[in-house]
Amino acid sequence: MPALFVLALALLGVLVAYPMLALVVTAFTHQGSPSLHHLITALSQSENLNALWNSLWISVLATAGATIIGTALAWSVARTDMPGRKVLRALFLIPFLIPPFIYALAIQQLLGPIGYLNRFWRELAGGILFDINSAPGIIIVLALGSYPFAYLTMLTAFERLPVELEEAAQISGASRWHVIRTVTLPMLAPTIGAGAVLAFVASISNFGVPAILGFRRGIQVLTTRIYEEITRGVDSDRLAVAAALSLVLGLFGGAGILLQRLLSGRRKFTLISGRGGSGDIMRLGPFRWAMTSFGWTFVILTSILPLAAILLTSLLQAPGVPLSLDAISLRWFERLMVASPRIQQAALNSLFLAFFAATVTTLVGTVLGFLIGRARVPGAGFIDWLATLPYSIPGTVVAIAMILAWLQPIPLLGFSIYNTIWILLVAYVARYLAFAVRGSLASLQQIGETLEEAARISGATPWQSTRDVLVPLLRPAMRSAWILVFIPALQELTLSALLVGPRSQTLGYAVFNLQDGGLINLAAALSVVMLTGLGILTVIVGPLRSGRPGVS
Amino acid sequence: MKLAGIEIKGLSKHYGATVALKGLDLVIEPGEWLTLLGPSGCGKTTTLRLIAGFVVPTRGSIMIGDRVVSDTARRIMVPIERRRLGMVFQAYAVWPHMNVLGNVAYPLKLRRLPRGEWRSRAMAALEQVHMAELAERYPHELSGGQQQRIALARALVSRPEVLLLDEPLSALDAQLRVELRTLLATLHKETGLTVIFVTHDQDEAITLSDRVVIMEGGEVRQLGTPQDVYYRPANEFVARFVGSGSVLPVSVRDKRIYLADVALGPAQKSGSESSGSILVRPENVRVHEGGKLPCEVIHSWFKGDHELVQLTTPAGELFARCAKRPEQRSVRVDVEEYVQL
Repeated sequence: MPALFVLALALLGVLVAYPMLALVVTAFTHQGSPSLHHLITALSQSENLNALWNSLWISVLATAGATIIGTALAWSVARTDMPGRKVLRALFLIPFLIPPFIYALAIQQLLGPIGYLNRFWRELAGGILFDINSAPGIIIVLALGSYPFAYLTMLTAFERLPVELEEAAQISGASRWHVIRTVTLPMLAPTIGAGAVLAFVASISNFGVPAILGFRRGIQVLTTRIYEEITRGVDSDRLAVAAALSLVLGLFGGAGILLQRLLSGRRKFTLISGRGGSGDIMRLGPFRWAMTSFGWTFVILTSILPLAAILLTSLLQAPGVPLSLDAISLRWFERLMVASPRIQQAALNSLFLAFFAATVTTLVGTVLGFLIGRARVPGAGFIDWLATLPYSIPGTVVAIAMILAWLQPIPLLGFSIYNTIWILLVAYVARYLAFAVRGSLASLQQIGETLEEAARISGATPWQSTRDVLVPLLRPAMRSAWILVFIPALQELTLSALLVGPRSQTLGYAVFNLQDGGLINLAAALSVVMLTGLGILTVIVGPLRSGRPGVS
Repeated sequence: MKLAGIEIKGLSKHYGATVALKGLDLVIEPGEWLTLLGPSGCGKTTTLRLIAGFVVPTRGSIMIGDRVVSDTARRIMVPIERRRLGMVFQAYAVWPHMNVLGNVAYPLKLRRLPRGEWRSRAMAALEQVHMAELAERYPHELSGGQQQRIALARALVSRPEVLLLDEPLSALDAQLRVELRTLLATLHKETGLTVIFVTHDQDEAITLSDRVVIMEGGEVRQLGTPQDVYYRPANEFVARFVGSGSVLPVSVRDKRIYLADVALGPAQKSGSESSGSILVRPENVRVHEGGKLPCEVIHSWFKGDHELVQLTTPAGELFARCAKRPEQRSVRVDVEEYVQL
């Protein structure tokens, strides 16, 4: 076993600690000595400052939108007698299951310059209804993509909020409104804050949405600005500027996660699970039907219409053709199957990456979880922090760190993994390690230590007790960690876009690349295939897919 | 089966600045049922875990039978699995991924017994705890009491020299507790195993044990038979902890004891102190008209077969066990027996 521990720690060092260190050192070194030169250079260029400013205000507004939407939806399904709230409770989560860049692509089919709703509006009233390829468009798509964070945290809070606390206030003579103001809201405030922070981090970290909706209109945010810098070339000056910008981006993302931990720490204190649930359901009276129609309209507008639109685009001969039955065909799907060796290669690459990233993270993460949670090795807190760091900061930052760490040939081996599929694998493993570590830690917490002690007293050596008791009991957690990594890895875009090489295209990047090159229908067809696959996968393994770090 | 006693010498455990156990010396006879009793944090669980080997002692030695299993001076620390012990835990610790037979047979499989033998021995252990017909079930299908029986069978199956019981009854509800308590007593009688039993429940301690060790703050406050600790508590802590009774301040004059200026009887200690305290058990307080000590009734608690009457005397509170609820608020009582502390 010690060999296993050493291997896991060594991998953590090579995959996470070294690249992160490389990033920080590059950003703060100029001509061999410590300096703020790159940071100053980066922030003195107006396009970078502009991107930083855009990142901030776009994310803040998207967060506000996401928090309001998420809280309102959670309240409507958890605390009102709205008809059909059980079904809506699940339907409100649809945007969570769609990769944000595909969601952006789908909404673009409705509200892009030649989007179906805009074309409809033009015939009806002239002009266009709304241009999604704009900063407000990016805000709306980011808000719709990240409200599930607020929705899920608030749902848990509403359902577990100890009803006794509200009842105690009512018994003490507080009016209904007074109870909400003096008891309910103060107790929920940290939770609302935690949900908002998650939404903010998701928004500021997002690359796909601003890239698809803003790139060609010249609307830059930090993630797209760094991407642009790197795609222009990887000479040392550009890398240094990218590193400095990454640090700025990481600072906002990381500060967010820090804040979230602080808030959820407080939340644990305030929301000890009570009887919960059944209690204070608000009777809406005649408004309940209005509420339900509003809920369904929301689902139709934000989930069903965009999905229908992307499906329609995938079936149309060309972008912008008049809608008629003659225009419908399966030619883009046919082309995917027969005439797109590069896309097929991308599918193979994504499957390869997702499979091995899931396997490696699960194994390494479980061992690290054991070291942190059971063996309680010295520095356990630091190991935990390091292992979860790459998921706590934006993917863009991780990608830049990987480039800095692996651009040069590896000593002894004599070749570089940059521009190959291996750098993607390394980046994926680092990025998703948090899932496995968190899963294994949570599971170890539930497996009482006396179970192992009982094995020891029965005559088992430490190794036998681990093999016969601990590992079998950890298996379900390992399975769900594997799936938790496999599914997002299959649809990954941010790392792929920055680390892609000539032969290491991934599915996410293929969609991005196709729409960038104007092959919208083919991009839509590939998206439909991906969504179908992910949908099937989610239904099959649905029960296992729970407890994303940072959400639960 | 070979019987083993346990000899503990100068055993201490420190956690940083906290002392969990201070220089414990204890000899446990082969076949004896010894109970470690005390409030939480008294060191009883630490002692048990030191014997099991889960905890490394700071100082001292432990011998099981004729084997030294821990000795800090000689740097001996026999691993848990080679101490040949059986143990039952408070929260059952039955492995959820193995069925009942798998749980019970596990210690035998580790000893590489052939299939036929481990099977028959595991089934025999299940017979002992009356669980043989549930051998193929999984723990989640069983009640807490049944799971604890499985844990007991698992602890006994490899015929250990010593059985360690870490509050095995605490997680069970009242009726199951009595059932399992009877089973434990029966098995102890049948097997003649040495048993070390940790509990915070004085009732369990008094009814089950040959001897009881009462601990507080990492130290032994009294070691003796259940009768010793009940009738002859060595100090006020033991007097308050074991049984229900009242500890009252008294004055001592001319080798006689006075409770609120009422003479109770002769002093039991030959000291020259003019004050002290006594333990009075409810069954030794008689409420009758000719009683010497005037009291007020605070409350009378109906206990089914008797009334427990809570009284105030000028010296403090007193409980009396009566057949009937007193009719007046003011009564007179006699203290028929007491223990001077």
